[in-house]
Amino acid sequence: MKSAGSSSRGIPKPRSKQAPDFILLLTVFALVGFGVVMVSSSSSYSALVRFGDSLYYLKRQGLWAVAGLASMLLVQKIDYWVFRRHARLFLVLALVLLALSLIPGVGVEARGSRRSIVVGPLSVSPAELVKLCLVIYLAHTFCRVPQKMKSFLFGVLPPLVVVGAAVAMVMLQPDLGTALTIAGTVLILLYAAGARVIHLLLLMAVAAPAVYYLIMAEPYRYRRFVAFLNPWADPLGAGFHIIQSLYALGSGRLLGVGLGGSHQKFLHLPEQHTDFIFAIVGEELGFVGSGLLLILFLIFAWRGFSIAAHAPDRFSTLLATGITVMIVLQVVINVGVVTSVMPVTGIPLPFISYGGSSLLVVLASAGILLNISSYCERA
Amino acid sequence: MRQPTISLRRRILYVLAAFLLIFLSLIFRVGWIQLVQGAELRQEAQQFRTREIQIQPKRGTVMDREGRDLAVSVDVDSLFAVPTEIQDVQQTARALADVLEHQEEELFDRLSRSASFVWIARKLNPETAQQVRELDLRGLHFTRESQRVYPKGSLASHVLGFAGIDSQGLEGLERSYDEILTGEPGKIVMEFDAEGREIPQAVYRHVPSRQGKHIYLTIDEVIQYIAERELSHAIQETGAKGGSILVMDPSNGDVLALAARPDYDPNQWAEFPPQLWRNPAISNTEHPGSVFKPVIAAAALETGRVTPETTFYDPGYVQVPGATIHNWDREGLGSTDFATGFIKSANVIFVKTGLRLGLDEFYLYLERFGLDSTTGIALPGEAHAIIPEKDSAREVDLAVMSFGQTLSITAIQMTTALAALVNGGMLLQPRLVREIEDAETGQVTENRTTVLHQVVSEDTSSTLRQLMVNTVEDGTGSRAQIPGYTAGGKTGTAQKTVDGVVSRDRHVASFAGFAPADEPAVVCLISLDEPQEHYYGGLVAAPVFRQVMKETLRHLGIAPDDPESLQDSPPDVTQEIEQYDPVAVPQVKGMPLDEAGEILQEGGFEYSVVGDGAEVLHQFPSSGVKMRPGATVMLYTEEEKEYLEGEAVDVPDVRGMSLRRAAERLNDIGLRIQVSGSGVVVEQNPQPGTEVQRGDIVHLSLESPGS
Repeated sequence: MKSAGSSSRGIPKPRSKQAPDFILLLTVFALVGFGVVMVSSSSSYSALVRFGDSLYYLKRQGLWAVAGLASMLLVQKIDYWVFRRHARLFLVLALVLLALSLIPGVGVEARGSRRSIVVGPLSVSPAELVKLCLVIYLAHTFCRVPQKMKSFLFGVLPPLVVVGAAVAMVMLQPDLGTALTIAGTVLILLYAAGARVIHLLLLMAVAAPAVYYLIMAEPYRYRRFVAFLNPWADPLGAGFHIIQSLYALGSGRLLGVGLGGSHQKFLHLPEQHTDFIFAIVGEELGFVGSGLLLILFLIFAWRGFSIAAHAPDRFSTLLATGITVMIVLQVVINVGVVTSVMPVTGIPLPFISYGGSSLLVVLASAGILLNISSYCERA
Repeated sequence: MRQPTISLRRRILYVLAAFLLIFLSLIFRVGWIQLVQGAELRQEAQQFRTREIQIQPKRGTVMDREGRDLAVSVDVDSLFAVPTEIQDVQQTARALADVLEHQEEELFDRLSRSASFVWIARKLNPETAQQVRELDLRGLHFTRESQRVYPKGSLASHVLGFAGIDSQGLEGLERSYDEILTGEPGKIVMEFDAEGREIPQAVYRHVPSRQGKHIYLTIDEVIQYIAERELSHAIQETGAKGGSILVMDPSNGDVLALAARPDYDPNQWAEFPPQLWRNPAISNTEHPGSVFKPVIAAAALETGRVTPETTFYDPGYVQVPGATIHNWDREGLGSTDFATGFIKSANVIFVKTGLRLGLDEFYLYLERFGLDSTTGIALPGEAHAIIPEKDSAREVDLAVMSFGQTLSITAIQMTTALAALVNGGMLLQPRLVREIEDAETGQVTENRTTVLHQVVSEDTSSTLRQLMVNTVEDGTGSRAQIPGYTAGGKTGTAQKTVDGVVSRDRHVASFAGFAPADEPAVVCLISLDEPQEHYYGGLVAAPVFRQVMKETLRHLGIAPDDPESLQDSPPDVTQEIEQYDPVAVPQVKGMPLDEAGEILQEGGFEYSVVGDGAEVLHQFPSSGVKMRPGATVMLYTEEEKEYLEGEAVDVPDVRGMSLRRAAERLNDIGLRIQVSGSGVVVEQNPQPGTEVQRGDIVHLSLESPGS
């Protein structure tokens, strides 16, 4: 379908705007609600122990959720092509944020890696925002000449140089999980944008030795990397985390021990309200709850890709694809880690894990999706 | 603006399909963990989060034959709270703070913890516990923990031994009857968070413990007291460095008293050098000397090699290949009969008697009297007799053994043989435990005497009794005569073998006897280790026998068989015992030796000096430790065993050793010990070879072999 009055300079005339995707909106609200409840339950004990206030994390996450949902509704009003216009700005923003996080004094070091930066009283983790910025930039770059994508040299390589720089900075933090998400998102986005599969395979073949080197360079990383294969080989060391996660999940069985009834949250399971919150979901709500949550994410993926497929133009298609992949890929990695099918990498579960800046950005991204959806041809 | 192409849409569809597949496999994976592995993981997780707290059972009481307490476990109250049951935390905390003299804020914190169990105060003294009870506060409960106490102080310390911090038997009867005394532990299962805090909604399970059994000894506290008092007295009089007194009922092998010096206070066992834990009557072997002669006499009479009337010629010496043996006084009796030789304790006649027996019969009777191995008394660490191999024994060995030299036996062996000699010839296993009472059901099990076998005939036994009575009446044992009773006995003066050489000036003076003559109710062996100046058994040991027997027979209510010789009635010991409460040892460290000695004597203590210095550098036990009057305080005047703290030493390997050996070994190089478990050392921390500093603590884990 040809849209009337499309311009080659990329200043589109707005087509008739419809209501945003209702199912997506509902799913996002459901996920955020689910997340706030689970943060409350999983963090109450550690909050009590650390801050003497069992509602410490709940209060903060509640505020962030409200702010996030407001920003989602706000962003949903911003027409998507505005992002295209400022795509290069977003790239610069991403690179600056990453550079800042590496500067001592600005970047805050926690558990041996600088993942957040201090802004006034807040400590913000820029990973999510960096990802969104990169997705916007890539959608813009890939959308110009589809034919170019068939060329490795002119289509695939140039954006990779830029993304490679970003990934390198992420690895300096170091944050293997975020680096993997970015790399995965880029790869899938390249595929969607029409890159040749052979090029992508070639790319992976080249990247493999580098990844291997990065893993083997740090003994702790290697031990953590292989621990998921048999966590019981080192139950008090590298396997500890993953065993506690399996204990939590397993304890839930079909119906769970009941909301608030987790025993693993008594500090046995580290990161119980952040990266490993899915395990607490499984423990308290059982397979019924963890399955339901995965299905909610699946609905999100379905709506996201559906919006991408029916988006009005190539940029919005790629942007919607990028955002959806960015979020869903994180879900896959996070749940893969919790269920011990992947090495442990510190990645939060979108919408659910405690963490204000992450929630804010993910919800803003959902806002972009919703905006695109209101220009979609209805399937 | 470009339209998304068909291929773009198709590729997006592929991506969606791929994610769908991935999600389905993740759901499958989660389902597998939760539904298939769930039950097992849940159980493992629970085990990981919970910890078992053992509740020590109350250890059984050890009593003497009349039921008087010798070792008891005192229940001490420990206070805990169940915070959820408390209504007004602030008020409860305030009330408790007053009584316990604790900080109110700290108590408030504990009481407001969200846990099902919080310790408030452990091992309270009874008055405080009573005060807390009177407050009648909701949510506060008492539980009982036990602490081992030896109310009689050092009395019978070598029999009782002691139990460690965890109420585990480490020495003496506490060790050999540990299993029976211990009972079965209970447990509380509790759940903790990863940092060791008790948590709400915790799993809480309580399995009560089962109390240990009570033991009634054959020991009679009064007789034990008499023996200990007389032994202390004798050591003081003679300057002996140690000694033992064994009192036994020959009719059933009951050990009525076992006193030994030096001794220690089991209440403060760790304060004493481990060497003192050793029970010399059980664990030391010595040449018996002439008290062994009745055994040779019995064998010779039983086999018909001699009769009391058999004539011997005694020129004062006898020659055997390799040696010339003299009588103790180098006087000869000339032509005389065996009975006279016995009464006068003539070595020459016993050598000749032994040679008449020959090696075969000599060794046969050693075996029949149980003198070639151990008695099997229910105490740990019984030493094995040391006897030359029969095949390598020469004539001279036989000759010398015939008057009690060369071979080495324990005091308990000699006493057991003596009982068999006078009771009609029946060898019994010495009995220390009379009855065991199940503390929970009240059921009493008698521990019957083990009757071994007839060693000699009634006639031989009777003849021998007569010979021994004559010895007391007309021979070397005249100082053993007991007013009112006809006593029999034999003196002994053994030369000690020191570093493989028979010593000329170190002796063991002893006396083995019994009374009344016709139906012996008590046998008694006195042995004094290295008395100074006078060392003849007849001179120093026989009077001790007299004193012990006089009061023992009266206490047992044995009718005098010789009332004419009865003098004034001895004082009633029972009253004396009641006044005999433990007293705190005075501080003498740093004082000149003579001053320290005076202070100790005034306080009713005896003392023993180690080293040649003039000043007391250390004392054992230290001041304040409560001991019975008459107990020995060790005074160290030399620094030879003191090391500079901080000097580096290597930890020796003590694994496989008994506690005492390990403790001695570590003590020798200035290391202190901490003990858990009982039995032999199975683990030590630090490991052998680790360099540590003197004064450091080595932790020993003990385990019973075979468990």
